[in-house]
Amino acid sequence: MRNLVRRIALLGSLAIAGLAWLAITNGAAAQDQNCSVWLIESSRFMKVPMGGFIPDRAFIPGSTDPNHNINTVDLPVNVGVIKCGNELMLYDSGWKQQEYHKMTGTEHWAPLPDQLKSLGFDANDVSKIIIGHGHWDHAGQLSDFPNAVIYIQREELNAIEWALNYPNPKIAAVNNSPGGCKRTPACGYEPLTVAEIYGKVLHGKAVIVDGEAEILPGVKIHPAFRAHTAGSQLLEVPTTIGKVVFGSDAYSSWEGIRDWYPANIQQTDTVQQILAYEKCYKITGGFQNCISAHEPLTYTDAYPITKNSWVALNGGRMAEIALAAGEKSHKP
Amino acid sequence: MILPRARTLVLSTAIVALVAMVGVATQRELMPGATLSPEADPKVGPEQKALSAEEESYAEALWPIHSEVVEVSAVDMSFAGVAYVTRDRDARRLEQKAAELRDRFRTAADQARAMAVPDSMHQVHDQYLEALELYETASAEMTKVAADGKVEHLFDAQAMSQRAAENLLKVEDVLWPGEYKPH
Repeated sequence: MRNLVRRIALLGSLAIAGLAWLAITNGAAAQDQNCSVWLIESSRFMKVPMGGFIPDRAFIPGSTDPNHNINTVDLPVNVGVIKCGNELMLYDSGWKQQEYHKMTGTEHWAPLPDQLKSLGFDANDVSKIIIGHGHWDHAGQLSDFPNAVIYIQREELNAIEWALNYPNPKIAAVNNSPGGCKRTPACGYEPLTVAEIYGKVLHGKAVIVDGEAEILPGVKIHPAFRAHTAGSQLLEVPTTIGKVVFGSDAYSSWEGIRDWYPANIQQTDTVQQILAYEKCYKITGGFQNCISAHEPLTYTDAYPITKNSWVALNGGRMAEIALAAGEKSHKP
Repeated sequence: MILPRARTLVLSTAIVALVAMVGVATQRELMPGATLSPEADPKVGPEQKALSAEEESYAEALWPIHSEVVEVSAVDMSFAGVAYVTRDRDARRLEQKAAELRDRFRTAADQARAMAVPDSMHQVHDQYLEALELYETASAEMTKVAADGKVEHLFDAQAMSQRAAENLLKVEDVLWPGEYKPH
């Protein structure tokens, strides 16, 4: 009888242990709807005048005001890498031609497929690229991702087309000065970049988005029209650290989001940019989880969500922002 | 007896605890990635020397053709294709637009060929003309869709226009190195 009791007790313990195991692993599975997020520094623009980046923080020689005592900044070109379950996505895609590097004083560039490889991913596995906006430094390298479907706002395409057909050639010009185009309507939409976008459309690898769109459970596109360009769009991603929102150049500066400064004015309505900042506050509950495209503080402790960082190819940096349950760290 | 029951209890508790520990351990992030060696810097090339006065004059003369005709038409060509694929599939409208673009590129090429070109810029000039010829051919290819409805003409045209855009960029790097700014 005692032996029977002992056996029953032991079996009962094993059963409890088994249930405990199931509870733990099922709890993990329930978190799988969250995504893992990394940030890659595709390249870095060196010595950009601060006033050209954030007009209200223009450098004043001799000033001790921290808002006016920075002459130039180095701007990373940040690309978001997002993994939700088995889906691998990019937010923005940088650019690659060597000529751009020479013309823009860029350093620390490496091909995005190689950067992904160093992170443990294959460019052929990228299924979606969400184009924050269509400027040449954010919508390049598309041909290197043959299986990716791009997501771009119809509003973005319509605005470019409108500009091209404007009857004043100074306004319609893609570059209206040999010294660089001056924020005119088609400025920044280079023939090569537009040809690559067109190539994706032509081959049935493009979704032309009209405003809001949920592209995976919890992964949502939000329009931010005129927050940087006519068809700028944000991307909300659920993670284990809360929702994060990528903003491309609508979120050029994270300090700008924090301190409510407009930044990187191009085809921009500053009111819409400020409202885009507010969207991040509303979605994430603050400014900490807003992911900037060009924030100089990226990959440092001063921009906390990006501080889990390391130096990778050619001195470019990467950051591991959040890991979904079951996802191992990709940090070397 | 108390002792056997206690032993059973201890053993049972230990089993539960061990299994729970293993379960928790499997949820943790494990194993740092392999150490990476940064690749060598890709060679961007030596710093460009400034254009001579003669070369500057050439670049200035070419700029209106480039900025007001060629670049706009190149982007316009992509949009003609986008409009056809995403909106109306109107082959006649596409043909009309493509023919107009072909003529623009041909006119631009004629104007460029008529320019005085410094000896040092002949290679650059040839590359520019090659880009214009590619664009002209691509536009002509697009007009063929109206005749047979085959989208393959657009595939070929897009590939040509992408190559032409790469050529334009090489020329721009030499003649107008300040043309691109961070966006």
